[in-house]
Amino acid sequence: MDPLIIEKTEFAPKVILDPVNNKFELSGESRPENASKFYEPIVKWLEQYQAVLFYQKGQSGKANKVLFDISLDYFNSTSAKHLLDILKQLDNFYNEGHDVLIRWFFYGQDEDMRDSGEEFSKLINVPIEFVEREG
Amino acid sequence: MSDDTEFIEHAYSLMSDQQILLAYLGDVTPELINAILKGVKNDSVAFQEEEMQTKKKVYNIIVESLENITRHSEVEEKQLNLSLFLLGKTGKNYYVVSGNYIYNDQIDNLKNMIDEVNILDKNDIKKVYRNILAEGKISIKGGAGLGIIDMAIKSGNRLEYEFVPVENNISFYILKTQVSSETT
Repeated sequence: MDPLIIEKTEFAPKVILDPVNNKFELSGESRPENASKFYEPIVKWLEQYQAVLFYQKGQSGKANKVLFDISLDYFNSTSAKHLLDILKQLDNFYNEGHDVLIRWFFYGQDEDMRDSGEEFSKLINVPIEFVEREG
Repeated sequence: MSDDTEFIEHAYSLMSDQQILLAYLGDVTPELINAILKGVKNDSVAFQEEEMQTKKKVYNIIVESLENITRHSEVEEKQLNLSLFLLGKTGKNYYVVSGNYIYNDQIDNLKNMIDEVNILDKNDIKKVYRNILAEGKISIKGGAGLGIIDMAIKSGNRLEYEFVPVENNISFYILKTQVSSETT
């Protein structure tokens, strides 16, 4: 499946969905002018990837590993809904028996960012690992 | 002479004892929001010395305030879309004030929501936030509910509001949010 890569802009995050290199990342700042338009292809991509994972698991009998890094400096409340959509999609992978881990990066001083991750973790089954960022 | 200058003076008076870091009066467009945020990020509002957490909280509240304005301020009767944005500071407290026209039929909803948020403690507000997020429910108009709740969480203080009557069916909605850098 082709990777989905979106370069970051000042107000929209960088997105890497790359199954070839097994790299999944969302980083930067998220307050795109049209959040639905920005996030829709990402969620769609993940939906399709769910089918790929399902097929691969059927073939090999083994679970796939998905490590998803979320390293946001800031996201607005509109983006929060879409972030949850992404996390729910990862939850689907997890509920289908894949080995999914989300790493939630935050600066040590930024308690609000950590709290937000904890709020999200209450809404999904996938484990979230909290990782303190440098700087 | 319209009433317009009155409510603007009124909004400024809310900030009278404060150092105003940034003030804007006019139409709030996405381009303007970007410009303001760039200014804030590049520390053109004397932010430099502040702790990261305080900066982030204020930034957060600025975004939600400005987005709130664009969400609400479509009042057709007003040719001139006069919205107001202020960022001020008193001692260790930052204030963000937004003001925009609003139809009176939206007032009750907004009042109820803000009053409700104001009596909740932090954990309960987070619970409400989580519920709205989980149900994907957009409470008032285009997600305003989640925005206001997010502002309350980041602020840690009561949200202050006023609705100043302008015409029969139109008021000016002023929302003031505070961040205390001492408590962060």
